[in-house]
Amino acid sequence: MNFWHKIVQACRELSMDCHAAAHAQSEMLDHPLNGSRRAGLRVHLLLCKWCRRYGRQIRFMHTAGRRNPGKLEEADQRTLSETARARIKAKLRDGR
Amino acid sequence: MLDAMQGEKPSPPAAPTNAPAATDPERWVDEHGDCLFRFALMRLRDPARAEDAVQETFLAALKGGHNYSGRGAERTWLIGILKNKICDYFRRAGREVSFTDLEFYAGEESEAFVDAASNRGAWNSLSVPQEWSDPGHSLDRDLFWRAFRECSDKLPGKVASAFCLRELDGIESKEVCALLSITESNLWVMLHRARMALRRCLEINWFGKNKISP
Repeated sequence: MNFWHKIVQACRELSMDCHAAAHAQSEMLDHPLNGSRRAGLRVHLLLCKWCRRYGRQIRFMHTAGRRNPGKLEEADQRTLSETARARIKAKLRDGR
Repeated sequence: MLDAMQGEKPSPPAAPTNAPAATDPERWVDEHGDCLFRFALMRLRDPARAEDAVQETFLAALKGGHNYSGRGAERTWLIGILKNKICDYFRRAGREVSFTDLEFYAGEESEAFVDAASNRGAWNSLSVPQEWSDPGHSLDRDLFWRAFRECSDKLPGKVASAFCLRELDGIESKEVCALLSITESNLWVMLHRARMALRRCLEINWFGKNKISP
């Protein structure tokens, strides 16, 4: 076993698996991870391009909604029913 | 010098004559009703509740009696009131988390990863995240947002509420937990599965299709 092989082996042992990494990358959006999880995740991400991709994608979704208020409502076809509209208008006339 | 500069200053703009009456509640309903209703419906998941929240919002706005000349500012103000009404609803109602909320996507989550001893916890070959081409570009497309909404509509009740409050409204985790009466670890599991489900749904219904017909 040569030197690099040993390094890779050691990294594998430190690393999380993909399942744990997916969970950890999601939690990172909500709170800071503790030191050992952070280290395990970091090592895993060095080795796994799928999890790097997964992380990019959930971070994209995380910022997309927050930074584009109103877009979801614009893309929605549902409307207030005529009865609800009339009822609310009547309430507002009473409340004035 | 100073006088001269002040002289050049444009006088404050007069209120435009065709501006809508400052507080015209019935116009509010026509102009903002649908938008507020959609906003509430996404978070409350029940048309009757969403209608009530919209009604309460307009009544509170009427009492508040602010004046806004711009339509955009008026809508932002109304959405702000609506957010508070939605939080009030959760405070009153959020006492129980159903089994479907907690178990949501648990099966799919474990299926997404291989459990064989040789390949412990690695992505299942069918669930490997695919490359998304130019996701930033999608943000300008209405159809992307429709896919986003339809995918998030598939989340069950409390998971959807948690997702909206955290991912769309940016409310801090601790506050979301207090509103929904759940523990932080429950919230993290729910959000993790919601993100996983939404990611997969967007991949199938938007990014996958988009690759074929840009």
